[in-house]
Amino acid sequence: MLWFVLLFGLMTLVTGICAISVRNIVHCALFAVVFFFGIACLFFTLRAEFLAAVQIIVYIGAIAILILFAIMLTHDVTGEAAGGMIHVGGITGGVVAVAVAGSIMVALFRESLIRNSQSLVERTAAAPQVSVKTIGEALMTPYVVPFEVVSILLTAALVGAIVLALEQRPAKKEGS
Amino acid sequence: MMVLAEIAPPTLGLYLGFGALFFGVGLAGVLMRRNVIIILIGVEMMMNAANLNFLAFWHYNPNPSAVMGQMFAIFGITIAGAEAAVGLALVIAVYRHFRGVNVDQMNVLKG
Amino acid sequence: MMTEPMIAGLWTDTVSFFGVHAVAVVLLKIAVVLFALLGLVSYTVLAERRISAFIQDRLGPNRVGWFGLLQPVADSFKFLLKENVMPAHVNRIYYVLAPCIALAPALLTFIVIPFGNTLAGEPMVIANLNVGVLWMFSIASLGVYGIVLGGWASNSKYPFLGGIRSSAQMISYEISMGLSLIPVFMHVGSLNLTEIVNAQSHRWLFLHPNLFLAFLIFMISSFAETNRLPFDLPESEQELVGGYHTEYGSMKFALFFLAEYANMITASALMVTLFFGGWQVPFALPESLSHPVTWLAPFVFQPVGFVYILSFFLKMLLFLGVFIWIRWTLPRFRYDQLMNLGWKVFLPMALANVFVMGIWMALSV
Repeated sequence: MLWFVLLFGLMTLVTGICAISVRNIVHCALFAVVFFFGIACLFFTLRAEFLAAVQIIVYIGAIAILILFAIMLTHDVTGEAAGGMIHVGGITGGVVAVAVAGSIMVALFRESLIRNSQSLVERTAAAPQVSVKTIGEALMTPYVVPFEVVSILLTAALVGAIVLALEQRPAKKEGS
Repeated sequence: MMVLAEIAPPTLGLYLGFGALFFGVGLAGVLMRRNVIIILIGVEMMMNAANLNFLAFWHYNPNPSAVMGQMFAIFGITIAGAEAAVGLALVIAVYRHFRGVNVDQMNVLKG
Repeated sequence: MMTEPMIAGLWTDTVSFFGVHAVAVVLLKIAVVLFALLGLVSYTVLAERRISAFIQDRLGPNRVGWFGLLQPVADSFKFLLKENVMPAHVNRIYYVLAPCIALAPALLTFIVIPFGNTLAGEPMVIANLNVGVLWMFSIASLGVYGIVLGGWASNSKYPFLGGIRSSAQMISYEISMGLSLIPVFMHVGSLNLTEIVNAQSHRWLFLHPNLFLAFLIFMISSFAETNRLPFDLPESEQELVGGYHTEYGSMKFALFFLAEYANMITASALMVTLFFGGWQVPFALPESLSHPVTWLAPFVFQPVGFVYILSFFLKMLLFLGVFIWIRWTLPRFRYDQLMNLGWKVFLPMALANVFVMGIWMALSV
């Protein structure tokens, strides 16, 4: 599995870097698609098939398509007008990002947790798989309150998105 | 190299390291770009990195029946979906108002 | 270089994870299914042309070979020998990539569909995934990219409009398609397609009233997902010239064309698997086939597995026929009608269906 993890991880990392650094915004969105797919592959290596499938459905099938949709509605059809690379505080931002990632990495490799985890055996195929049924039962029994809260959040987001994106009717009538 | 491949399973540290890198990449996207849509992509990347960590901790959990890591990842993905929907609706609304989606255009507090 | 140990490492990982035998068998199955699928695709195109001709009281292609049966061969040579035109204004990389992206998901979806029981002890499914249906949805959702990219890369207004239309249409109908299947999972208790087929050995799922409604929603949504005629807004010839593939020609157009038919085949296979018993033979229980029923005796070969594969295949052809029949008899929807149907009719209907199914199950326990 190690080589698969390395392959997917590096693929995800490279496409992630491309996604935030390429000038053409449509290219950015498509690199982001590959990034999301790489994350789904990593989920597969972790034996979380359900989450991997959900990741592909939600991120690639919905969010990335919405992003592409938004790009096509707000940009030149060719997508070439990408906006400037780096704004005034951009370099500072880059330094901050590198510092955050670097400090997490330093913390990780100093922490005894990781050194000790070398001895943690990888879960074998014989170990009980977490099936979709288990997940469903967990969502409906101990996690039912967060589940309901999330459903309210989703409804609110749905209504909010429609209200935000809807054109003001009176303004439209005046124009026409 | 071959011997290494056969004896060494991927460790928790590997996943956490990748998670940290992805988080850094997403953060850099948020802080460095001007385009709102790319900022949104960066936020989604950071969410993904967090979900990867949740699942890595779940996978290396010595108690195999615990599903908490998966639950966190599920809720994380759900919230990311809601966030993307609202975010993109905002992008459309902002575009309609300013005829552009760069953050440095949005410096007028009054509508 | 890192690549060589990496490839070797990936190979060792694969073999140690699955075993050499399993890898070889899976590769064989992939090869057989791929060739069968592509052959079926080209003959579906012929069937569409012949059946449309029949519906419109014409003859259709009947010159090449016996009843025109060699027409697909002639067509493929025609497509291959045509000049490969690349318009000057397109985005070259995505222009070439888009048809490939359109075809791949249609073929990938097929790997979770069980097309037979067992043959020589091997289950007749390429990958028996526990999250089979979710996998199918996740791969099917990638199909939009081919069309959107094709429309965008063509850099011309009609393809672009087609691409925009298709992304909105496919996202909308994916939701009702996904929700329509939830009663099936509630009934069977699994997302694994093999288990769904096994659960139908005595009673096919469409006989259940809730699941029949689910089947109707699923079927109509899959017409929209495959961009077939009552819902072929992304390519509507009369409004958008040809929609997303206006700027395409020769083999690249052929790939889009094949993708549409491959999607149709996959959708038919799914309807058969989910609602019509998959590879089960009608009126014959699996137990009874091991000692053949009298009226089936002439058809039962020594390995009974072939009968199941044949049964699956025939049912699938029936649904392909329905796809073609509907295309040539119904007019196209208007775009607002399409969106209303998806969001205001099917979505609430599918949700209500889940609810009613839950009550049904609670009462029948």
